[in-house]
Amino acid sequence: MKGNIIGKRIPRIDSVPKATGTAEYTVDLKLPGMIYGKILRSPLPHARIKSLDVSAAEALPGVCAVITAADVPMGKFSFFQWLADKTIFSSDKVRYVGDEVAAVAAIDADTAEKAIELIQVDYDPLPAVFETEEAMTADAPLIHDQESNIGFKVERHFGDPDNAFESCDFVVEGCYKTDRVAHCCLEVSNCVASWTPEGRLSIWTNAQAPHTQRQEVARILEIPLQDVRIINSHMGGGFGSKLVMDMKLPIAAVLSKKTGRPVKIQNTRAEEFSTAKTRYGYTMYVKTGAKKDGTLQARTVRVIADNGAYHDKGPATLNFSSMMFATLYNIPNIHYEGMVVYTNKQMSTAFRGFGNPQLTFACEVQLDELAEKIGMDPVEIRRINANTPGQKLQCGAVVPTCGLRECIEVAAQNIAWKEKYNRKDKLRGVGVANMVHTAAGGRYYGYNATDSFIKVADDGTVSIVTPGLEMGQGVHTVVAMIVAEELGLDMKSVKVLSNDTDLTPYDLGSWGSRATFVVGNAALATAREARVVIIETAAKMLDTKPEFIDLENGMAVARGPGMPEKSVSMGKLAAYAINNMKAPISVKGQWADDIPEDWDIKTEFVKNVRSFAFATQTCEVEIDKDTGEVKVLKFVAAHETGTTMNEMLAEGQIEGAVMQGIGFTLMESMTLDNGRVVNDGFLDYKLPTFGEQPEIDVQLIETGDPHGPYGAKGIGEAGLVPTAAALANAIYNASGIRVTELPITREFMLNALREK
Amino acid sequence: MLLPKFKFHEPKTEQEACQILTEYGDKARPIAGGTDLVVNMKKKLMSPEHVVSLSRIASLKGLQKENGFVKIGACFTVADMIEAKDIRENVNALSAGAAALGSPLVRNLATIGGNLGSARPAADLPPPLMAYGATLILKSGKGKRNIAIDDFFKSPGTTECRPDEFIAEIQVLTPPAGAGAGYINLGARKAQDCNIVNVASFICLNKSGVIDTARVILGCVGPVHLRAPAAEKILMGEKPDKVLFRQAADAAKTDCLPITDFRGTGEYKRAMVGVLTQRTLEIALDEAKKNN
Repeated sequence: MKGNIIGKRIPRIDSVPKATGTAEYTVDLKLPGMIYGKILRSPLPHARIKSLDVSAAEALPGVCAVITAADVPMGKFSFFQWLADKTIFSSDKVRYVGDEVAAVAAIDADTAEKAIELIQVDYDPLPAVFETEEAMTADAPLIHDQESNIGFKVERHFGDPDNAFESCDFVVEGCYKTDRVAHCCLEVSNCVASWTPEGRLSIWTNAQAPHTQRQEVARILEIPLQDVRIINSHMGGGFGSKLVMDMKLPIAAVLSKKTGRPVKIQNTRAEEFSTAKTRYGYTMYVKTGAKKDGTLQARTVRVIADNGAYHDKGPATLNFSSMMFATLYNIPNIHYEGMVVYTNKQMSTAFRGFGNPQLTFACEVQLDELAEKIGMDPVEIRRINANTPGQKLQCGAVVPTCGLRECIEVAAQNIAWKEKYNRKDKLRGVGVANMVHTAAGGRYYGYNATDSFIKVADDGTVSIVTPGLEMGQGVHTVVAMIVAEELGLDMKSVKVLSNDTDLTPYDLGSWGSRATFVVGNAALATAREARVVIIETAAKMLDTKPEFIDLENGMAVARGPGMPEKSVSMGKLAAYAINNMKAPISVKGQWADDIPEDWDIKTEFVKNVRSFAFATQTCEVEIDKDTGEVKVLKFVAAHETGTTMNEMLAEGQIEGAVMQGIGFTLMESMTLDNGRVVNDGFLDYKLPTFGEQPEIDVQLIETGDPHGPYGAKGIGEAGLVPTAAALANAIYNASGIRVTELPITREFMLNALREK
Repeated sequence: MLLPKFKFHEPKTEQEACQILTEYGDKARPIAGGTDLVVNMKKKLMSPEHVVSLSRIASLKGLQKENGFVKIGACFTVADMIEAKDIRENVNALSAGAAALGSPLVRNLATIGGNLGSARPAADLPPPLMAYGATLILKSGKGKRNIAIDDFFKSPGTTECRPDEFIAEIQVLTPPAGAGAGYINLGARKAQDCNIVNVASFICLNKSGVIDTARVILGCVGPVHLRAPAAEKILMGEKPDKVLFRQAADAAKTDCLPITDFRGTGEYKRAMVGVLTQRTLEIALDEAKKNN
């Protein structure tokens, strides 16, 4: 779609403050009287706390408060409360290097750091376990008071895979592994908490889901929800790491209550790498069977996810990847078994793609193995099995719109697949991978509704209050575009107000590629309500009928048969409504997902996803035979957008995600030494930089969507979902080396080349 | 991460700097860009009581070509080294080393003197400077002395520089006709990385096209940057070609002592010493042929 605003290349509304360095992030915040908190963390991966002595820290001049487990509510907490396993501070034992043990607040950060060093903790070390499959053995040390370290299990089953494999012409089996990687947000996790004497707790923090974090803070502190307020600022990246409340929020809150002053706690970069959670590492045993014509008949997987020391988003990650596993292709016989397993490492959490990049890596690499066995081109096997618009899948999901075949065509064509595939010269090769991802978040909360408010000022400015959580992805720009489009305004005339749970309507936050879809739909409904009121007002003012009024260029214009054209500016119109009609223009609009009331997530889990977005990525690589370096020469990322709201934002999202996917595939890994993160800085944690960026040809395929605003689908995560598989498949095409484990380091490649 | 407490001195002349360093001796540490020292102080690896900034001493910031030498002041920044025509045209491998160091933000602060004085085995400037056979001018209240760069590094973080001394200047003899040098650093990524291995090679061809000087320097594979005597021996007195370079590269692998750490296994580093030796010799040969 091309509107006046929608579909255009519109710069972000926050681009100037961000590019000039004037945008204020939560880390920049200083409140009057503010003091500095610091958390004492466990230096051991698994140990009993024998004793704790804070007296020397308390005696240090400049220290305002020292708190331990004795000073905070000690109810257990987790994102899913039915899996609660973590207290604010550890009182009996610590379960990973970084576990919270005590905290201080002091007049400055230096004093707080000194005070932390003065706290004496006597630990009794326990045997620790770091690998999931080791943690599952009978003699593994138990991390929690449970019968085993398996924390949660889920199974999905359709058809009869065992019998189906019997009748398949080709079957492949394998084990695939992905590593735990860090979100690497440029703004570290931080907060300022201010608990004022009237009993109100305000927390400024970089949260992706302020309304649910508000509930989490109230829950863990055992205080009424109404007493908590969460305030956001510009945010330096989320990627899933800032969905669930970090323990520094209740810790800063208790320190503030004790001292009567605002308390700031901010991770160091080393703390961020060691404690800010990682992507779930997946070990996947996958089996796929097909007929000799290439049609997929059966697929089974056993996923073992590395939980780290405590529960977080594990069940949701497993559930979500099971849905994508069942919907990428229409496979009639499926079995999915997933489990999260405790280890003595930092917690895992949501990370862009939510389990899907891991499973897509395994499945799409295995699909190439299957194609090879059949003797079929990898592009062809994907084309044969691609879903089509309107298709009802065996697992129960319906894909109303689907552009996968178009994605495959353009991705293959733009990488010159026919000339380059199997060319077998100079260790160069091409690879392909498909993916499906939610285009609209998930419904697993059981509700998915939000609203927004618009007011029109007498200077012609239109303000919208939206819960859309801007974490850098551009949702505030999208909301402003929708308002500008509907009300015939330029972008400068629209103001977006957000970032404060006292101000904004309830919403579940920015995750699951849902913000444009959900918040955008609410903004669209609100703007259309405003349009009706504005047009009615203009009709009165211009003495004509509403059907003759149009909104364009900041004006209400009346055109009708046999009447002279008349117009009035938005500002004058608003003033007229206020002064003459005594009816200032302010409206509310809402959007609610029509989740079936009788929906049972356990039996009809695929209904968790409202809309699907498909994509194909192809790439070309060249391998340096001497050093093992994989040079990524080009990526083609063909993604279904439904309707492209803003080409610049869509390209930026996908280019950034492909780069994040390249890091996940070739470089990034948490290196541990007895549970301690060794590479806890950007020098040694290998995030790719512009030096590694290939040409990325982004192709946006518009297929529409029956539910998205203007037919848009969410695309926030999709860009890195197929990237690892496309790269691994290209590496195979270049070298004959089949990679089943990430990251694919230079040293691994060099050794593999030598073994051949 | 806190900086330990220290007294900060900002002498404006070399003489003043000498006085301060003489007075405080091993309790003092010179600072220029601070890109190594401040990080190490924050990590509590170093805690000098006196930090003596050399950044206000104008005489340490010069660059001149004089009597066949390129003379670089110790406080000349790495960013300026990349831009300097005298360096690029005369000692290009040093330009390559400067361009490989850190990020633009680090290069704007970091200095040539600091990169040598901090004596990290993975540093980018020592290999090309050793390849060119550079000389360091050290100054103190007792006067100045010249020291060959091969004799400068003692162990990680320690050098020939006494506590009362500072590095004042680095002198590099402009290579004669028939000479060329190459520098390559290998990290896990192309920029802003800590090297896994870095190598510089220098050769000089006589009129009959025979190598009469060869220096091969290996970084990251020993406590200090290493000369590769076996590799150099193979090169000396021979006419350069791919086969010879391959033999020298294989020899270089026996000239090093790489350790296994989280940045890579010793085995991989040793293999990369071979690859980079071969590749830097090829660059050096190209340059030597052009420089005839």
